[in-house]
Amino acid sequence: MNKKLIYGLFFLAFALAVGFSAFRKWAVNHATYMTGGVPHPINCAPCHIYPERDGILANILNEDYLSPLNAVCSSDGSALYVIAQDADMLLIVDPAQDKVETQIAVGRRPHSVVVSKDGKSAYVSNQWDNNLYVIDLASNTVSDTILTGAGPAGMGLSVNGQLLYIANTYTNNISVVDLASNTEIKRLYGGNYPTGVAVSPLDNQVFVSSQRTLPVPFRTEPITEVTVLNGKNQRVEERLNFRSAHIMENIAVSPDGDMAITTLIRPKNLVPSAQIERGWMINHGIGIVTKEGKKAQLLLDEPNAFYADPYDVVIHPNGKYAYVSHAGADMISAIDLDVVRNIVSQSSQHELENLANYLGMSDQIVLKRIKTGANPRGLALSPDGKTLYAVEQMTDHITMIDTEKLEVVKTIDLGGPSRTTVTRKGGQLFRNAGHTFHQQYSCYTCHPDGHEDGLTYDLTGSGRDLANVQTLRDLNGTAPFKWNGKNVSVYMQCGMRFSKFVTRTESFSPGDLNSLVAYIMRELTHPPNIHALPGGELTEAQKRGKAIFERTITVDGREIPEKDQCITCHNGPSYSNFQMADVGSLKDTDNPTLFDSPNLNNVYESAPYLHDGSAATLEEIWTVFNPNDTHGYANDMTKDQLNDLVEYLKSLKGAEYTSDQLNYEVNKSQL
Amino acid sequence: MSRSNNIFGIFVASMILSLSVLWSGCASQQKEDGKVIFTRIPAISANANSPDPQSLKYLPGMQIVIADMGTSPENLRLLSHGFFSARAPEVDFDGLTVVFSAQQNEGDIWQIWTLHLADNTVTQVTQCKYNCTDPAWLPGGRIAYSKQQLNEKGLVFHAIFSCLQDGTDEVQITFQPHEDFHTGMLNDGRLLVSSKQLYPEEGKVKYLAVHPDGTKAELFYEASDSLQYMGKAWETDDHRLVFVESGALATVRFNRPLHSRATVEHHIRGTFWSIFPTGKNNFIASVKQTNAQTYGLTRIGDTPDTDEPYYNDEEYHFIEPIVVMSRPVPKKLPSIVMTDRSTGYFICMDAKRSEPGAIDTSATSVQLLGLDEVLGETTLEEDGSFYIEVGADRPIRFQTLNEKGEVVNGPSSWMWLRPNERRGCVGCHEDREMAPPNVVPKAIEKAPFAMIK
Repeated sequence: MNKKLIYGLFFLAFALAVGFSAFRKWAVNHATYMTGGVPHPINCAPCHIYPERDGILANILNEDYLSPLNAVCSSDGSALYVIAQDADMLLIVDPAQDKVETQIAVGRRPHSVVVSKDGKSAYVSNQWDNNLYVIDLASNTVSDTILTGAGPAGMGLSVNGQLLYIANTYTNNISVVDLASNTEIKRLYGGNYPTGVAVSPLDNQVFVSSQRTLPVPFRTEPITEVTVLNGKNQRVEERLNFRSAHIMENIAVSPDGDMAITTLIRPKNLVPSAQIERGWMINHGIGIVTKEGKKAQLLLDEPNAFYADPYDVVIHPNGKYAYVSHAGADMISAIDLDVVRNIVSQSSQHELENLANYLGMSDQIVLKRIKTGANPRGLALSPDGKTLYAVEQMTDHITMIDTEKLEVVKTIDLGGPSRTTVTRKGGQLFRNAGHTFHQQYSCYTCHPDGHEDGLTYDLTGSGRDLANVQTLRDLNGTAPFKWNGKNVSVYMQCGMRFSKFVTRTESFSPGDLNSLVAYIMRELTHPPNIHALPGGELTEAQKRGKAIFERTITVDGREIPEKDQCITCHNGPSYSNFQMADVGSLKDTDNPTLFDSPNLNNVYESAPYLHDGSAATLEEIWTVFNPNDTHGYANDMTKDQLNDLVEYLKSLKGAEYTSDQLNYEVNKSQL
Repeated sequence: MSRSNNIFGIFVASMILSLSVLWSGCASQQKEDGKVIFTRIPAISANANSPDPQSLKYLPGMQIVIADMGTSPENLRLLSHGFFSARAPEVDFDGLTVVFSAQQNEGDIWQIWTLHLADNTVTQVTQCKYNCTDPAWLPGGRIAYSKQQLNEKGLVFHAIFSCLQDGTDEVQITFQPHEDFHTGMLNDGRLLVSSKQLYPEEGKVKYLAVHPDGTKAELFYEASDSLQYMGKAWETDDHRLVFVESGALATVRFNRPLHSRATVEHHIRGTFWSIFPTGKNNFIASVKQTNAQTYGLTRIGDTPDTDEPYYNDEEYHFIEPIVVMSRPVPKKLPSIVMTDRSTGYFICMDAKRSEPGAIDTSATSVQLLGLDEVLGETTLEEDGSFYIEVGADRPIRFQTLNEKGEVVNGPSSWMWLRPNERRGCVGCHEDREMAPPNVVPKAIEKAPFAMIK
C-alpha cells in the first residue's frame, strides 16, 4: 500500500515535472515567437492580462486617473478650472491652498473650458458627446447643454463675451454659439481636425488651428490650415495654409493683436529617413501670423535636443513673452516675443521659409526651458501674468511657475491615484520622446490621441516601401500588425527593429515594453463613430451600402467569386480576417509583399488609405486603384452605389459602441 | 548524527565563505570609490612639457596611479605595476574596472589592457600589430580604442576600432586619413572622436560624433581658429562638454555644440592638460601655473576658496585624472551595419545649396573622390539631388562640377559609409544646423547610382 502510494506520488511528481518542463519550453518558444526573438523574460501578464478592459483583475491592476488636459484661470486668479479628461470631470482648484475645491461631473472626454466674462458660468466642451455643458459656478451644477458639431475641442470667447467659438474636431468645422440663448447660430467649415481657438482682442478676428493636413496630392508636403474668421460677421475671412506643418494643437493671440502664435510640428515625411541626426525625421516649433499677413515658422528644437509635441501656447499680458508646453519633452519653453517680432519683420518671406528649418533659431528666441512633470499639456496664465500653470496629464499634477524668475514654484496635486500602474507607466512612455534619438519624437507624435497623423513616411530611407501611419486604437485581438503583417504582436512591433528604424536609439527595456504594450492594447480606443446612428441602426444609404458590402452577385446578376467579395476579407467584429492578401495595390516602389487586411472600424477617420497613403479618399480605393477588380469586385457599381458603399463603410464601428452605455447624442444634421 | 553535523558544518562554512567573498567585493569597491586615478610622467621625459597630448602617446616610463584625493604624493598606489609605460586610464560605468593602454616591456607594441580594481587582476585585451592607445568603455561592455595604421602610401595615422573585452570581434570604426583618437563618450551613445586630417594636407583638429558601429559620423565641434589640440572631453550633468583646448579650459553645450563655445569659469592661471568633472561646476584639472613647473592636479570649484591643489611634484607631471565612481551608462545604440554587404548609400537633398538660402545653379554633376582617384561621377537631378551607392569602409569625398567640368564646390571633408549605412546631407557645405526641407528628392525616385570602384 505504502509502496503504491510512493510510486503514485513519484509518477505524479514525474508527470508534473515533465508537464511543467514541456509547458515552460512551449512558453519560451511562444514568447520568443511573439517578441520576434528578442531576449525577453517570460511574462504572460502583458499580453494576456494587462490589455483586459473589464473584470476583477482589470480593476485590481488599473486605476482611474484624472489625466488633466486643459485649464483656465478665473478673472481674479483665485481659482483654476481644470479639465480631468479621463475622469470626465471639471475640477475647481484653489491654487493658493493646493486644493481641489469642487469636482463637477461633465460629459465624455471633456477637452477644454472657458469662463464667461462675468465669471458666473463655465463652458466645457465634451468631445465625445458633441456638446458643451454650461456650468453655473454659483451652484457648481450643469445648467444647460449646447449642441455643437462632432468632437468639440478648443473654444474662444468673443471680446464682448456674447459669442463662443468652438472647434469641432471630428466634423472639421467651427460652431458659433450665442451665449444669451445658449444656441448654436452658425457652423463654418475650417481646416482638418480643428482643435485650437483664439480670439484677437483687437478686432475680433478669430483664429482656429488644426491638427491634420488638408487633403494634398500623393507625396507632397502636408498643408495645415489656420482658419481666420471675421468676428464681426462670423464669416470665414481667410484660410491660411501652413506648409510642411501639422498638429497645430493650440493658438494664441498677443494682447495688442499684432500676432497669432500656434504650436506646430514639422514632419519630414517626404524626406528619405537616411538618418535621424540633425532633424531629419520630425521638428517642433511655432507658427506665426502677423497683422501684416506675414507667416513664419520657427523651430524650438536645437541641433542635438528636440522638444517634442508642442501642445499649448499662451502669451503674457504684457505681450513680450509666450510660453509653450512640450508634452513629449516634459518642458516649457519661455519665448522672447520681441525677438520673434524682430526676426519676422526683418526677414523676407523667402528668408523665413529657410529659417523654418533652422535648428539654431531657438538659441535666439527661447529665454529658458523649464522642466515639468510628465506630459505638460494645457497652460493657463494668471490675469497679472505672474504665474503660469502647466497641466501635467500623466501625473495628475499642475506645475506652478513664476514667470519673472522662470522657475517652478510648486506642484499642485490634483488628487489622482498615487499608484503608477503598469498601464499608466505605458502611457507616460507613449507620450514621452525620451525613447528616441535626441528626443526627436514620441509615439504620440505620429499617433496623436492614439490615432495616426495622416502621413506616409519613407522609413527605409530609400524611397521604397512607403508606410502610411496606422491607427493604434482598439488593436487588441487584431494581430498581425504592420501593413505587411510581419509583426505578430505589438511587442514585436515596438521591439528591436523598431529601435533601428524608428526610434534609432536604445530599444525599450523589457519592463518598459510591457508597460507600453499594456497601454496601447488597453487604453487607446476609437471615439464614437460620428457616422453611426445610436443602437446600430443604419441610414437608408448605409443599408444600401451594407447590401453591396455583403453581396455575392454583381449588379447584372453574375456570381462574384468568394475572393472578390468584400466580406471575405473584411468580416468579424473588426471587419478583417487578419489574413494577408494581394489587392493589386503593390507599387513599383514596393518590394514584393502581401498586405494585412486592415480593420475597418472608424475607417472614415484614417484618410489617406492603402499601405502607402496613395488613395486620398475611400472612394479612390475603387475609382483609381482598383482597375482590375483586384480589391473587391467593384467596377460594376454606379456612382450612387459606390457612395452608398462608402456611407456604410464610414458607419463601421466596434460592437461595444452599439451598446446603450455608449450611445450618444448624435447631431443628425451631420449625417 | 556526525554526518549531519559535517553537512551542517560545510553549509555554515560555505555561507561564511560566500558572505566574506561578497563582503570583500563590496569592501573593495567601497575602498576605491571616490578615489582618483591618473597618469604620472617623469618630468625628465622627453616631450613631457609639450602642450600637444599626441606627443605623449607613446612616452616611456608613464605610470597609472590611484590615490585618495588630497593625500600626499607619497600615498599614491601604483596600478600599472610591472608595465614599462602606461597611460590613458578610463574606469567603466560601474566604477569597477579600468581600461588603459600600456607597453609591457621597453620596445613592445602598445596594447589595451584591463585592470579589476577589486583584485588588481590585469588582462591584455588587444593583440595589435601596431600601437593601440586611448581606450574607452562602450555601453554593453565593448572597448573602443585608437590603432596606429599604415596605408599604402606610407602614411601613418590612427583609426578607431572596437572589440569585446577578450579582444575578439575587432571592428574598425573610422576610415579616413586622419589622426582619430577617442576623446569621450556622449550620453546619447555616440563616441566623441578627436580627428585631425593628415592627407592631402594637414587640417584642424575637430570633434566628430560617431555611432559605436562607425555609422553617422558628423562634425560635433570645431574651433573657429586653428588650434593645436583638443583633449579628452567629458559630458557634465547639465549637458555641457568640458575639455582642454590648446591649454585652456573650454566648454560647449551638448544641445548646440557648434555655436556655444565658452571658457570654463575658474580662478586658476596656467596651462591646462586635462579635466574631469566631479559635480556641478566642480572639476579636477591637470594644470601647471608656469612653464617651469610640472603639471599637478587641482580641484576647481565655484569660488576661489574652493580651488585646492591636490598633487604637485616637481619630479612628475600628473595628467588624465578620473574619479572612480559609477556613472550613468550612455544609450546603447542599435547597429544598422550588415557585414554581409559591402556598400552604403548616400542621398543629397540639393547639392546646389551651400549656405542658408544660397543656391549655386552652375553645378551639374557630382564627383566621388577616393584617396587619389575619382571613384565616379553622376549628373545632379533638376532639384540638385543625387543618390548613390558607394563602397563601404573607405575614405571618400565629394565635389560638384559645372558643365565644363570645373569644380564648383569641394572637395568636401573626408567621410565614409559602413556596410548598409544610409546617410544624407541637405546640401554641400550647408549650414550644419539646417534640417532638410520636407520634399521628395528627385534622385530617390530612381535606383541609386552605383559608384563602387
